[in-house]
Amino acid sequence: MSVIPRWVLGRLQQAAPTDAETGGQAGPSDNLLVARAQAGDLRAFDSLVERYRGKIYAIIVNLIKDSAESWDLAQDVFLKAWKALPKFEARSQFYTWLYRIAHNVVYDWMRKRKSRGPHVEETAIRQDNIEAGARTAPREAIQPDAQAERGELRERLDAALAQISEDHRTAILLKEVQGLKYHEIADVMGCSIGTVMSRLFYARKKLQEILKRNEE
Amino acid sequence: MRLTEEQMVRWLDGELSDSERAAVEALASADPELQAWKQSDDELRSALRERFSASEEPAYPDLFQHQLRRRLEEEATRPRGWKQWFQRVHPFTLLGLPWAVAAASLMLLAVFVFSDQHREKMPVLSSVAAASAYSPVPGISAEAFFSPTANATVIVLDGWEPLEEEELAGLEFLFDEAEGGPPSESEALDELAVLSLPY
Repeated sequence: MSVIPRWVLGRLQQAAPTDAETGGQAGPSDNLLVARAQAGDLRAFDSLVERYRGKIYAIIVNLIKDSAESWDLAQDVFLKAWKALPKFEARSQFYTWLYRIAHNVVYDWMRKRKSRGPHVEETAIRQDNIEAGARTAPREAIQPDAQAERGELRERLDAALAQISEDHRTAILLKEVQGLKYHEIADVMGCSIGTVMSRLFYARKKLQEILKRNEE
Repeated sequence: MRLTEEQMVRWLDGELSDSERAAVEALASADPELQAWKQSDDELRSALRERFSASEEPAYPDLFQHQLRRRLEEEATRPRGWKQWFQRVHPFTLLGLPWAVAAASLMLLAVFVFSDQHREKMPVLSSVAAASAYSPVPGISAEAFFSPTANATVIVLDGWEPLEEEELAGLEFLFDEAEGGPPSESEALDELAVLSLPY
């Protein structure tokens, strides 16, 4: 028996979905797809995966710098989301709930990597000792000119991000790259808005210091 | 006036109210250090947005979708244990029922007695079970499994056009001793290509 909360059904009867409710894509709203998926409709969940796999993969790969591991972790995120879907009550947007699962999956992965020893951490996360021009992750072939153009600044940013804490890195990427609002970041990271502000403040401060130091 | 961390962040993000922003900018106009901070923060945020993608498809997105669907279907067909059943029932619903305590006690007893038996019935994936059966080419089915004998992941492609001999150079063919030894060259070419890949 599927249990769809009454207030979710109420939302389904609302007017046309906004961009925030559809991940900026055409089609049924997230709430409608979530309700169908909660009733056991795998195709509805497929649509949600298709809608958000790019964002989830991007935040993971930006955090851990390992495309193969990110592929697996993104799969784990959606598998966990499917398992936890009966408990999702839409108090937050579906995508922030997904980001929260992704944050927890990455956090657990990093903790396990650390417990295996510093060597693994060095190769997987730290990018500050990479050679100029080296690729930071195995990707599909990029044209040499475009790679050179994009490469240098990206690598300096990667190296700087690798030197700040996981919490600071997550907060700044969620804000500046994913474009989440303060309260959404707080929801994803399971902390107060005050803590988010503090993390953003120190993340920016440290990144600026590191980038300035590396320029000198 | 000294800016708090929150005021600083909101100012840098352009999230202050008009009156707050006027106050902070009056302060910044007399503080070169604050102005420099604002300028380099603008550059940093712009660089982050320009160099990092908010959305990036994983490699082989259709395989990603297929693989996940397969895992979800396995999950959906797996017999549900008492934990999964309990998670689907809202706790307040249970608390509101007069028989809840007695039922919970009986359930605990039943779980204690039968959990071991139930666990034995749960499906266990064999180490040689097919890992994937995804093929991006219509008309060709693919199956991958780990072969302990070859110590390799074996990908079986069925429905492939017959391969020319030169196309097979460098590939290692596996065969089943029980089926009478290695296939003839024509059998190998016409029926099934079995490629051995490093595990």
